[in-house]
Amino acid sequence: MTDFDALLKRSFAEAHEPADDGFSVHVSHVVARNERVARIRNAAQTGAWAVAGAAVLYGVFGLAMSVAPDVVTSLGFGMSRAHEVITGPGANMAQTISAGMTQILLVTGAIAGGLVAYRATQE
Amino acid sequence: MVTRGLINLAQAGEAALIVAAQARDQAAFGELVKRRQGWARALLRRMCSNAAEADDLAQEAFIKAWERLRDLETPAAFPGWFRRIAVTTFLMAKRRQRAVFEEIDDASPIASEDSTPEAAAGAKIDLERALSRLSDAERLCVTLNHGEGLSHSEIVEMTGLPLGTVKSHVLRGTEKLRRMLEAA
Repeated sequence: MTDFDALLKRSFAEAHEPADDGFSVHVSHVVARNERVARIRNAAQTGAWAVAGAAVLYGVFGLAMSVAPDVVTSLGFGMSRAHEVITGPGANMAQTISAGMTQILLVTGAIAGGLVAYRATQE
Repeated sequence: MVTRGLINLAQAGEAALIVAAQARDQAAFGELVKRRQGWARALLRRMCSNAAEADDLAQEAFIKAWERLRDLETPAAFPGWFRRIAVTTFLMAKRRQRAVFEEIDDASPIASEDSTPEAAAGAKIDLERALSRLSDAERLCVTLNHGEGLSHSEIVEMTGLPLGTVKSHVLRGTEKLRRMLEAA
């Protein structure tokens, strides 16, 4: 090591280091704010998944109604009666398609919303 | 005196603060920032040569550290681990600015105006002023090599620059600093 290298190392070692509480206080505030945002995002994600789950269940319920309405009705789901009004013998084709499309859109929208919320939390 | 749980923040060792911060204790992390800010900000100021920008990058580095603290395997590895985050943050900022690691060919005299008797024959470099006259790449490599004591291969591993480039930047940067001092 040359004299100059030693001088350089000493200059680095002795160089001024900034020290003021403002910096650490500011970092702490930013960290606390980020944590609050993360908590809100997690809650939103949980809510989105709950909505998506409910929509999927609703879709499954609709499917079960068309395959085995007696079984579903006997389970006592309250919605079965309303569903039967739409998809029952008195309903026309347009009503049936409308009910089916509504369920599909609801499920798709809820799942997409859940995925967007999940992606947002991952970023 | 701030006491949180079983940890007395003011008296806790750095390892204890790191372990507590890994458990998402914000107060422990705040104390860690308080203790390490001088080193981190000085490191980034040498690399940036702009105090305000360096402080912004230091803040960004500490926030990244908080987010990734669980990845740190042992508290003893914190300085090296954080240094890597700081250097990566600096390099990413330079990429965002599309900065070219420009050459500055200014070797005019530069010496401390307030040389101390301790400095040999009054030879003490005004480090920040001297470093500001180097190119970004030279400043980065000289700071990591002479300031942080990293070997060329460690700098290569940290920055992703080729070994020959790192050696060249360290040599040229050091030579420029020497010329500045000799001309003073």
